[in-house]
Amino acid sequence: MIRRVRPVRLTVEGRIVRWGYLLVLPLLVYGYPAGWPAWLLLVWLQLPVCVASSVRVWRGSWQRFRMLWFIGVVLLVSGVWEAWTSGRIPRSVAVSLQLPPGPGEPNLYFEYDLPAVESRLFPGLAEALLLQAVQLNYCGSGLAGLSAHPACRKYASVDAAAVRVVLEAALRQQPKTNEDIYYSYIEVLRGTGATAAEIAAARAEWRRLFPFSDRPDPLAGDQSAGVLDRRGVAD
Amino acid sequence: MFRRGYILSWREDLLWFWLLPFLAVGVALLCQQYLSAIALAAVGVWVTLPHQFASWLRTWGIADERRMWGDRLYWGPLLIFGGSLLGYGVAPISTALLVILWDHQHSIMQQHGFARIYDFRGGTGIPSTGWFDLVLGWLLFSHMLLTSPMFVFPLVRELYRLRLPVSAGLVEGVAAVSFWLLVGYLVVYAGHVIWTLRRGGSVNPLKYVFIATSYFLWYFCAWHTASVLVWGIAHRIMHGVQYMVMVFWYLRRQTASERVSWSVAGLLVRRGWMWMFLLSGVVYSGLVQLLTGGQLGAFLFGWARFPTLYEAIPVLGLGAMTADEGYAFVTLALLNTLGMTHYYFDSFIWKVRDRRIHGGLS
Repeated sequence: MIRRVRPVRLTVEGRIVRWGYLLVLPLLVYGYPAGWPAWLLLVWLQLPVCVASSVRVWRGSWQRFRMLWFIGVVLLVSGVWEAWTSGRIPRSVAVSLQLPPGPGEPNLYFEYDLPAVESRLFPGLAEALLLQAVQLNYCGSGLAGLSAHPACRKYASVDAAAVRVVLEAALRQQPKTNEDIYYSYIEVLRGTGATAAEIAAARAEWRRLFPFSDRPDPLAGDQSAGVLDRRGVAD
Repeated sequence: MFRRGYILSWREDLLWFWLLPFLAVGVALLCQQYLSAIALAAVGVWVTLPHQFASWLRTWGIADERRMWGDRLYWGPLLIFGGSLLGYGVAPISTALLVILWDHQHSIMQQHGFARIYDFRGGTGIPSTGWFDLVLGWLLFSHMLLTSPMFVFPLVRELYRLRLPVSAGLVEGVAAVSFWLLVGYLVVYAGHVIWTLRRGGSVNPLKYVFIATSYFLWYFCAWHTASVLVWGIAHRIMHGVQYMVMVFWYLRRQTASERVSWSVAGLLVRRGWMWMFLLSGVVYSGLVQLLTGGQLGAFLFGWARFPTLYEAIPVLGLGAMTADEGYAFVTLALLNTLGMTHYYFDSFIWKVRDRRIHGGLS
């Protein structure tokens, strides 16, 4: 006598996982040896489980946590991307799985020329000017090859005086939440041979606007700063 | 056709929901002109943190509400705390962006919620009105996020940091698409209002006054000042104050009924005790500052840096007390205060010769 075994009927979530992995598996089988980026492999790997569990959360008694679930899934996908691009996947894990290494933190000034993009979008914005000033500073730093970089060739002048002009344009907008601009300006003044009074005034302005700053005093140990302090000129 | 309904009353709505955005912008512009960035931190400790306290009070302050929301009230904070720790450890940019985006979503939804209350109180709109209002809010806010310098600048920078180098042309294209999408939807929305009226429904004009003033604040700050300081102060004042007003009003109504048993929330919002409600929020804010090592000087707009005991003495090569040292100093003083307050109270509450305490001793 033949006993007929009733097939197990999978839930919707189970079917999503089964069909999802049937679809994803060829991609993984091809992508892994082909050296696809780790973030892409991980996203494909997560996808069926994420979709199935999302359906379960939406349909079941866990529906009350759907907002947190949605946030978590977005963070998971974005986090995998970021962990790979910035090289935060532990080296031992990457080596043991033979994953291609992530490219690491990007250089926004010479790898991509972010200052040029932001300046085109928002010409004259204080934050865009700060990016320009930093780039200019690198261009004029004398580091090997930088002055000949295409990003530097767009500037007529790349000396410290040019950096100062750009920062002063930024400061005229009173970007009071951007400490970098005020702090960098003190350093630039020192590098451009500004008078002690100008430097002290810039430091006083930085101190006034950011009294809780943890950054070291750029004039610490500078005798002239102490004298100015005690005379009440700077603070 | 038009039917007026107020969230609170004519006078209170005028102050808290229609004029407040303009007042907030005025305060923010004055802060930008005359104060430092500490003003932003000050608004944070005086408004934002107390408004979060109001949220705790709203959820945990009444037993019926606690039962109604169930395990979400404790699983939520625990999961968020764990996820936040993990997120900042592994993927800080993604986590920070997510927090910002959730904050924006929350802002949209708060104003949308108030708009719904206008319809609820006025008995206006039709069942689909809520959805049309929601889409309107999302499109208006998203257009601002995708086009204003204050938001697009950091967004582009973070995309680059995530190695997603968008070109200037793409950003401009997205802005153009967003603009025409918004214009198209405004036409659709106007059509929906006309349809509502033709179907015999009514419209609460005050809802539109409220929506207009709210978006005036956001657009003005994001477009015309492009200043984080102005935006932050104006937005926080509007968002925080309106929320606290709403919670106060809601809790008072919920706890006014004699059927409701004694509750912390009921105590804090009862008539004549508004100062207690406000003080509780400020105390909460102070505790959060202490717990997180925040600057207590923010309460005084940076006027006094009281956690810093010593200024630098460059001649002797001594640096100023660091923020960490200042924090340890204040917490030590707080612990000592608790101990010494205990010594002080005991010095007069246990006098056996005091007849007033004999009842508790006999």
